Amino acid sequence: MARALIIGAGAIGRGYLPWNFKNMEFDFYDESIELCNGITKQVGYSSFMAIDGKLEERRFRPGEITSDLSQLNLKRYDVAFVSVGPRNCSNLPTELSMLECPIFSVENDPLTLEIISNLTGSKSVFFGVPDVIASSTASRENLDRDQFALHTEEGVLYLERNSSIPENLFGHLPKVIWSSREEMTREWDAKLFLHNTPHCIAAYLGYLNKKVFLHEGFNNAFIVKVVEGVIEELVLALKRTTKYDHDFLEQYADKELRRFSNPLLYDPISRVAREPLRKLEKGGRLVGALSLCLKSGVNPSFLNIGISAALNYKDPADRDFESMFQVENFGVSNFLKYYLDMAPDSIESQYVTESYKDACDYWKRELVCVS
Amino acid sequence: MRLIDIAGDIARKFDYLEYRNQEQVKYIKHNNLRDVVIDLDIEIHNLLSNFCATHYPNTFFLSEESTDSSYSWKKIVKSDSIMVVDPLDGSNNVVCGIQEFGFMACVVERAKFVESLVVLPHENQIISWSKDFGVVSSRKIPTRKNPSASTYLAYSPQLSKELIESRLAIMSLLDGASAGVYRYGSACVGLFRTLTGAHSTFIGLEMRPWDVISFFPILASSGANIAYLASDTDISVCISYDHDLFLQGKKLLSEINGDFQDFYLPDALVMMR
Repeated sequence: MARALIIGAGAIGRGYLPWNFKNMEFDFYDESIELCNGITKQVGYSSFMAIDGKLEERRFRPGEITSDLSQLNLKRYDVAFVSVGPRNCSNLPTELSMLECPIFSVENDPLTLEIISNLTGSKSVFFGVPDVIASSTASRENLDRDQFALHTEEGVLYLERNSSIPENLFGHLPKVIWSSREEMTREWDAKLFLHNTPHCIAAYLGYLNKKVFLHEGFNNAFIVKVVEGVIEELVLALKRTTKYDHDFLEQYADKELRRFSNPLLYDPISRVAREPLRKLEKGGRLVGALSLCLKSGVNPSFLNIGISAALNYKDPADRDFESMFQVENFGVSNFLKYYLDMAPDSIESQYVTESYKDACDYWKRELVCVS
Repeated sequence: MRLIDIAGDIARKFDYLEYRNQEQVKYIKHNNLRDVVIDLDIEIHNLLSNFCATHYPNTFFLSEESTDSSYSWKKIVKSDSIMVVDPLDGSNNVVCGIQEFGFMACVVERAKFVESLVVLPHENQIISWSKDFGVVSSRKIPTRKNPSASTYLAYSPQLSKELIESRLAIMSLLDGASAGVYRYGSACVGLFRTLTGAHSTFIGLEMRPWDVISFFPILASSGANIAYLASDTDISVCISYDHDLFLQGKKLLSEINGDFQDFYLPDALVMMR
């Protein structure tokens, strides 16, 4: 029997990854003592996967789930997965350098590979893309049965193929699509923009419309219109600026709205919208998408509504809350300068600044908004 | 209300530089060309003076541009509450078109730091410190601690005779023990680059308190060694992430000037000579 270590027992780590294992025991390391003690006490947890319009339940029983790495024999693992969130990678414990197995960063972010590699000293750190929407919670009914239950969609896990990965691992991960890093990153920007950009915009508009779960926002025609508009703008921009297969772009885009609005996922807006500063970073899913549109001559009207909504995301529970509160104090141009390092004379800064008021007025008119 | 709440207005004041023609020297202080005052100094001073009067009514306001800024150390240490402000550190750089300048302020109560704020328009950085939240920066502070870091040397336009005579010895020490001595006309930017690790050490000789103390809690929170020697009107500091260089610098400065006091959070600032 092979053994995996999952670092980070959140939506992806706990809710999705174990569905991909065959004949593989697994342990969790997570900094939440409450989560570790709770799952240990109730001997496992349930994950629900949305398949063909129905939820399939599976009960998972990790060998260990701990917030104390000294309780784990790190040399015994055949594979490790890091799923702690991109910002948390640099705060991982240095004891992880004792891992001798391949480590997959399933953070959707190639930059995390270097961070994890520097931290662990491991040369076997590989890229992973979980193309899946995994919720950090579950329906009321399922939470009543198990407070640690999660919902996830079926998704696809892409992992980097490398000659140093032991052959036997492939058999324990039968559903995984193994690809070279080049293959995985080739259409990376298309996936980043077509999936992540409209996904987070749906969350920001849902927040402004006082919704709790992402699918609830899709009952609002304005939110559907904006998200569809964003996808359309980005497909056009990607067609104009890349050599990607147009059928691939259209097919990928087509299924996105269906995925986001899946009522079985119970994906909290607070999860999808979290850390807006990271999502607004230059080159990222919002401002990066804006650059792409402007560069390709696409008028990013809907995208800009999404960016203005992101600048108004002020959830007191979010780690960026204090910073987001400064949008009014600084004004948009200076907020972009001081908090996102965007030069006021850049085309992106000027576009967002000049159209900010109109964009805000538009969604304020169309939505019943948070005060 | 906290100091961070005025940061947006300060940023707007810096914005105006983009739209103005070259800033003109309004007047020269102490008959020294390094000590110039421009309109922006006065505008930011007025902004903070009003902010202090409105939101910190029981706090004494001490700014570089205050009409009476003498005996400042005594005021800082003895006041129940005092706001210490350098509206524009590096005014002459603004005049000369050198993009090294910034804003610094702190609030000290009964000699202990309560808040601190630094605005660096050309680094796109707002850094604040408070007792409750510690150091918070608008963007991640890029740290690059490396062995080839240089040192920053700042000194008053009116240096005492002892320090004028010792200046070469101090520069020789810093030159030999680091990748060289930097001086570019803004202690604020020099202190920021010490925080980032671009400079391993910052030495300030007979500076005014507003030139440096706002960085004390920020640097101390990030593990810098800090020592200072204050008189009624000026303060000398030795700040370093390189412990050996810190000890050497402190020893040399102590031999010239008198015993330096180490600073750790949440220490109170002390009255010295």
